[in-house]
Amino acid sequence: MFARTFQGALSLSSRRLASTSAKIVPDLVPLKLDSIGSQSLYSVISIYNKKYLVTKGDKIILPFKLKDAEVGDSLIFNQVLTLGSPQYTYHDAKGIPQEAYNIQAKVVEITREPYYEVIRKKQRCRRGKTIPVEPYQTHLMINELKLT
Amino acid sequence: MPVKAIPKVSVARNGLGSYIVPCHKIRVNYCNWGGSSKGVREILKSGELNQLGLTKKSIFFEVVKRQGHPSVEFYYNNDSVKDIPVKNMEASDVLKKINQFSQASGAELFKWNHKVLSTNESVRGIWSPMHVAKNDRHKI
Repeated sequence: MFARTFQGALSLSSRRLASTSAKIVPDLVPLKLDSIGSQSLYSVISIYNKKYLVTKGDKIILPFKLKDAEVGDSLIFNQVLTLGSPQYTYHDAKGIPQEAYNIQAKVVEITREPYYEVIRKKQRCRRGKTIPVEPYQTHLMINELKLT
Repeated sequence: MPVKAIPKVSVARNGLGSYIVPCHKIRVNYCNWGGSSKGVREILKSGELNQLGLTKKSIFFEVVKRQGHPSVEFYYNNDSVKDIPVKNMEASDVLKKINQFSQASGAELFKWNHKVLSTNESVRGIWSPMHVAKNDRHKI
């Protein structure tokens, strides 16, 4: 019988989810002024082509296990379609250049959905096949959302 | 009338500022004799559990030798304990189980049908028909 304790900083690894081609950075001064130092700012980010409308402090729940991600990792988003404040919105369906903003998330939890079983049955066969289903879930916390 | 500040309760959101791994302790129970503990004995002998412990520095690992089938207990921040049976499992499967449950938060499993959970107020506000200009309102 033995016991050990560990103390120290968590390992932080950052990676990019996708890349955008070089584009001219838009002038977002009205957004900057209206969002009061990025306090009231929202954005629509794209993760594997799915759109998520987020503000700072929101939790994103991905219905899968994010590849190569571990709890405590930081993600830098560079597929951002919309940046918005109470009065103004800037939208680019092809993605806003990454120099315009800083949006980051932390992988907070990797867990699963509750277990259930699916019974698959063929016609004219009395036997059913029981398939266990327990998909993964990844929780992300948006901890940085600001204009640069 | 004196001006009063609007009271607001702060909500703890792990990961917004600093992040603390919810799993803080793992206890590995195994038997030195039984065949169902073979996989657990392997990871102890080969030093794989030591390696895993070195990568997960915020988790306290405890190894207990006892009678019966092996199990791994996970202790979480929210006072919940998950006891996962690992009997007759191979060494790699036991490591997978430890990896999986050490990244969970200890909360009950739930299928969220919402993509984003937010406690913030809406940035754009809620649309109201009463605040539309009179000429643009819907007329019955």
